[in-house]
Amino acid sequence: MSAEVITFSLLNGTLYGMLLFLLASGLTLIFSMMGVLNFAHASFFMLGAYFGYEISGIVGFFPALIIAPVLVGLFGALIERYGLRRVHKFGHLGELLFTIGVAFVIEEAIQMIWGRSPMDYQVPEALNFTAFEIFGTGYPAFRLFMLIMSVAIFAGLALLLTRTRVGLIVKASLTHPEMVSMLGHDVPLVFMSVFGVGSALAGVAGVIGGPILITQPSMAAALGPILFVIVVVGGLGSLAGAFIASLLVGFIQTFAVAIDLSVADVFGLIGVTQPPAALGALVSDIWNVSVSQVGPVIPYLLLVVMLIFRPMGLIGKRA
Amino acid sequence: MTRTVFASVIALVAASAAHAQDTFKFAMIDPFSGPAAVVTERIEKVLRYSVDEVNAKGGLNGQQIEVLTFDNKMSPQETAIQAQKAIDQGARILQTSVSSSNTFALVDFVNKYNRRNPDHQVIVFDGASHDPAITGAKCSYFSFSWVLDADTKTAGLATYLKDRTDITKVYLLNAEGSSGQTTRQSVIDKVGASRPDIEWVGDDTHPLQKITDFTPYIAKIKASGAQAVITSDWGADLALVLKAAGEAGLDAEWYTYFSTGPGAPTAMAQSGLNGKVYSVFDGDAGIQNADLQAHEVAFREKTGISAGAFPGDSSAMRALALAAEKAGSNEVDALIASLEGIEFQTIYGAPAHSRPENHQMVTQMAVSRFIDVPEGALDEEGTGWGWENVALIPAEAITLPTECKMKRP
Repeated sequence: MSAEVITFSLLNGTLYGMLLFLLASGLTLIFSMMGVLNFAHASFFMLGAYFGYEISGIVGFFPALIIAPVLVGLFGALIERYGLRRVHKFGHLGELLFTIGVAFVIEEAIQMIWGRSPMDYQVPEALNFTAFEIFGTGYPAFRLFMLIMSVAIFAGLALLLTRTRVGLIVKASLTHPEMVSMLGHDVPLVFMSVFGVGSALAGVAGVIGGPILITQPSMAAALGPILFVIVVVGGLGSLAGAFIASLLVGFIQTFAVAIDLSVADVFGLIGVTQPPAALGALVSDIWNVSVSQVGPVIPYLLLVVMLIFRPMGLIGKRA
Repeated sequence: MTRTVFASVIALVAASAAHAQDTFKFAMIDPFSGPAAVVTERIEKVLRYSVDEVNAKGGLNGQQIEVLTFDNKMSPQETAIQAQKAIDQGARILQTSVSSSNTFALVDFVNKYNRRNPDHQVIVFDGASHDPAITGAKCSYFSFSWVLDADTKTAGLATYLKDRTDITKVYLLNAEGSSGQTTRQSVIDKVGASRPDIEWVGDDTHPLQKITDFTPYIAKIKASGAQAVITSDWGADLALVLKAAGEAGLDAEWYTYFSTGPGAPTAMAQSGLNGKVYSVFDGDAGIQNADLQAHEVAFREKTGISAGAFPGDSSAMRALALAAEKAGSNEVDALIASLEGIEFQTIYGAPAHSRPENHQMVTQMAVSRFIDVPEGALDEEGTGWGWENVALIPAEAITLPTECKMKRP
């Protein structure tokens, strides 16, 4: 591999990984603080993109970057207050099924309100220029903006949870809810706020991700599965784990595309050019499949391997 | 008891059959729910508009056409179930468009149904599914296709590239799965034959509709020094890859099969690839023809979308109206006989006919590129960008030998 390809892959991998982290941060926050695996998270992301599109059309992109996530956060808080809290007593399965239902409702509602065609959600003028060029390939300023936002959210969340009183109360509410409420804190309110903030983070990701991806009703379904890969590989409930896993998935996918090596090439090195007939059709089927061809599914393979050998994930505490 | 139920079912079917005499029923069996519904929605608009045109002129031999819709949930099994429902409701023509696997299922179902019910046969229309096998290896006497298939379009692309001697380095980018891979092979064969000097500097296969970030592919294309990329990608894949190309400032031309589809024009305008994305398709709004312009303006006024992206039903209804007139009857046997070889004019103002040997529509093909059009010109999806025609490939150049061995009753 040339220096050029490695530079590109590192850069592209980082940028893509950060987009994924932007999405995964809210999901992992909700899971670590409430123990709820929110299947509707990608739908909150989609809501953020649609709200961002509508609001930026009226007041501009940067105000929308604040207003849209607040709206999504409020929506999330309402879902928690009047939905999730009621099903909480039926255990995790109830919560899981409830969020799956919410995801369907949001998708259908979006199709009813905005229609099925993609929205023309564009990168804002102020960030629509080439930030820098490497080997003749331009990198848009908007992707750098996304990178900065992502790192800022990671740092902000980590500080909030580990260095402030708020973080202390939130964490204590999870492990010792009765004690915390006896000390005079409103535990249900804490949970509602956490769910709201987690949803708002998905909203932020939506406002930023909308112009990069395509703002359409299928965008949630396209991103949902990879988010769970990140959260599980990183360790369910670990913010740092999600950060590392996002970068890992970003690098795996970008480097895999650059590698044209196939099974045939590897055996070609030792002089074997034809698949041995004795091994049957399966081997001859995968004989010419290159790494780049299977690149996007490698993270799912990683998920399976991780669940078998290290179910708690890279840095996770829960198994 | 069972006998009574059975008898009442028979009575019901007979009653609905009697009711069916009022209108000529045309069933549209497509995914009306799920991600593919966006395509169905547009095809339905074209179908209803074309049906209204025929009905306004007196319908088929005085009989009005009525459109019935059935949701096949994008599944071949469900397509067959819905086809039976459509026939029970009196449909004479069954159409499916969105996916070729559904078309195969429908043709298969109708072949069997017609064999078992020789007195009540039905016809299949294929409105947009592009797979060459539908009128090739798996052709049927009862089925007609109303868009150019993928092989035909590749032949048109090969003809066009013959004159583009400035392009010598080409990159192939296709999704896995039968559609992407047969197109890829067909490009290598046909473009390779018309331009033996072309060097394939890259050949990538990627998973279908699973990638959210195409920048690594763009980096690879750039590193290969490709002057042009040929891709059969569609939907989100096509939109994302073109946006990524625009962001990275990739200076290559794109030859696409599905860039007229819903959402693609929006993504292309966002990518800023002015004049770099080419479409090989039956036609588009960029063709200079007064009738087409008038049709587009009237269609857009009524439906809010452009007519050019899904020409299948415009052609199908024009052909059907002429065939019914020629046959002087709306009986299925007579319609099939006169649909074979029927000559008509497409909305693009070009002569077209249905090949008698395989029931495939043959007409000219357009090569157009997507540009920032002047104010007031026909644009796509309200972007201010639209198609500019660069070449029309005559039907003779793209009429290929057929693999069809049609079984005639």
